Amino acid sequence: MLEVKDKYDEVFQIEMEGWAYGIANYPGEIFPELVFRVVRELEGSFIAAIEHHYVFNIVEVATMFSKAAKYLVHEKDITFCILSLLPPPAKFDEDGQFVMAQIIDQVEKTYGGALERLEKKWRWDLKYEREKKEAA
Amino acid sequence: MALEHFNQASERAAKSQPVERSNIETAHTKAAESVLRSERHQLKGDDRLQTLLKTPQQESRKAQSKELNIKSGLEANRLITERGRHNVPHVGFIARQLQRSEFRRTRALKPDRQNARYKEHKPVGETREHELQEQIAIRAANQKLLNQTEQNATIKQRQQNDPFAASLAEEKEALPGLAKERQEGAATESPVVASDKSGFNPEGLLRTAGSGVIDIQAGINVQTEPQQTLSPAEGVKLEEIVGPEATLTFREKLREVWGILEEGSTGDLDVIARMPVNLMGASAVELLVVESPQGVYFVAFLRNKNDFDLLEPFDRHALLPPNPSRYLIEAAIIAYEQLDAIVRGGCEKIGEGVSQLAASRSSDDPALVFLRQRWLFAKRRRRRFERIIDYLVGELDEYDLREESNKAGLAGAEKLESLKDGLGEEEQEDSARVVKLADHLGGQGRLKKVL
Repeated sequence: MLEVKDKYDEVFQIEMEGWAYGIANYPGEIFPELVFRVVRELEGSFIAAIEHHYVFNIVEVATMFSKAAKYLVHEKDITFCILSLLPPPAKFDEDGQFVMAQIIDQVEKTYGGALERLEKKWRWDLKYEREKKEAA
Repeated sequence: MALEHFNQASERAAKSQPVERSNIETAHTKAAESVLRSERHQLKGDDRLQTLLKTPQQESRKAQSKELNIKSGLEANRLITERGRHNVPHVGFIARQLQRSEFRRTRALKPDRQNARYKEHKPVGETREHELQEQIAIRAANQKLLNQTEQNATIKQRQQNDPFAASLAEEKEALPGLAKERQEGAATESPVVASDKSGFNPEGLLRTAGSGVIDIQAGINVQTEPQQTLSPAEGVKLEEIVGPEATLTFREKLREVWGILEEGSTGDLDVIARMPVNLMGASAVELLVVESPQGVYFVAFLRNKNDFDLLEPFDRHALLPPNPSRYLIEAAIIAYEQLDAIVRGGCEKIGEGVSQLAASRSSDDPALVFLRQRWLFAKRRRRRFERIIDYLVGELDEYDLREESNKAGLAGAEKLESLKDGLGEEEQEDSARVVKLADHLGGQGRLKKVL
């Protein structure tokens, strides 16, 4: 088990609670795209968690956001939205890749189909980057 | 009363002069057909032909729907301005408004009993006309079927050229057992693709990460389980509106934005709202709010309303598409206002966390340092949203100014046109020069178009 760098688990917990509070106290009616947009804004936090070797409980985070959204958005959708933000594993070092795999594994166990979808996404990302380079 | 009297009189007349009536009918039908034929010859291009093939009822429905959409848009605008910038209804509200108006429209268009009774007592000539309209409608349906076949042929051609699209079609057609084999095959192939740069093997890592054996079949089951979709009364399938080829293109565009979109059937995208968008110089653009099975909303811009062959690509990093309409700018403002509201709440809570941590830890504690960084980052994000909102409000003002100048230009053009009618040849040449000059100075394309 890798040790969490710089006590990032505490930082991550406070940050996620903060955003959940923001969603819970939103004056209007919550709808899925709004929650997904907030999650997309947190892309940096998820990446930083992996870089700091913190295997965050992705399902728990999704449940927290879903609860904040008064269960108007399903946890599964939020979970897969968070997963879609994770960059291709090539961007991380070996330890980072291991942490990332543990996070994906949680989703794989809970819902299934996570790895398969991510592989598709990464393949597409690689293809897109290659095409972009060729075009340039 | 008058209607009954009219019906009785017409029935009586029909009984007394059946031969004459049939002659009149055939003459009327022939005349109508000849007019239709001559108009068809005059018109050039498929688009105009499509317009001609539409029955007056369809035309009136179209006009009615446009009017309702515009009304709902105006209503949303009114609410936005009334509530002020910091308390505006969100996009979901507008979508719901549109949905409601669509429901009202369809309900209003349903033939009621009274109309049905009236149809029974219709004069004979009118019934013939109705039959003629039906014939035209059947012809239009045949034409649509033909177009569909052509589209399918184009898709096949495209799949032959594009291996990615071909794989999509293969997955669509594959039997469950075969799909499983293919998935297993992909699972063994993909790590090779993924390990292009770093030699990363996600499956292998997952196995080492303490998960044991990954159930690939479970993944397939999740994908094939029935998705939660809207009922037909609430949503329309995108494929029904734009056809299979455009849907395929749309899915490709979506994948650019959201890579995790499931591949497979193209019929799982529901259109929950439609809105005609009047972009400058392109009046046939339509805005669609599409919902994926995962409950994610997307907005599509259909550039060509007749054949739906081109979808406006949209970039998630771009604030607005090129030449945005007023509706779009307002929608963007609303979206950033919403995000701003949530970020404000989040900032407050994280700020509290920072102060609590600062009270119990030393200033160089790494957790405190990082949390402070995240807090500052969130605050900066909030400021960024505010700047974006200001920019969008500025864009809205500019749009209004442009619209006003366009209106003024159009009014001037109409005046010029009226003047031109009364001019001789030489004077017309002069007016053409004036138009060129105006075009050069103001870039008013519409002015040129009108003249």
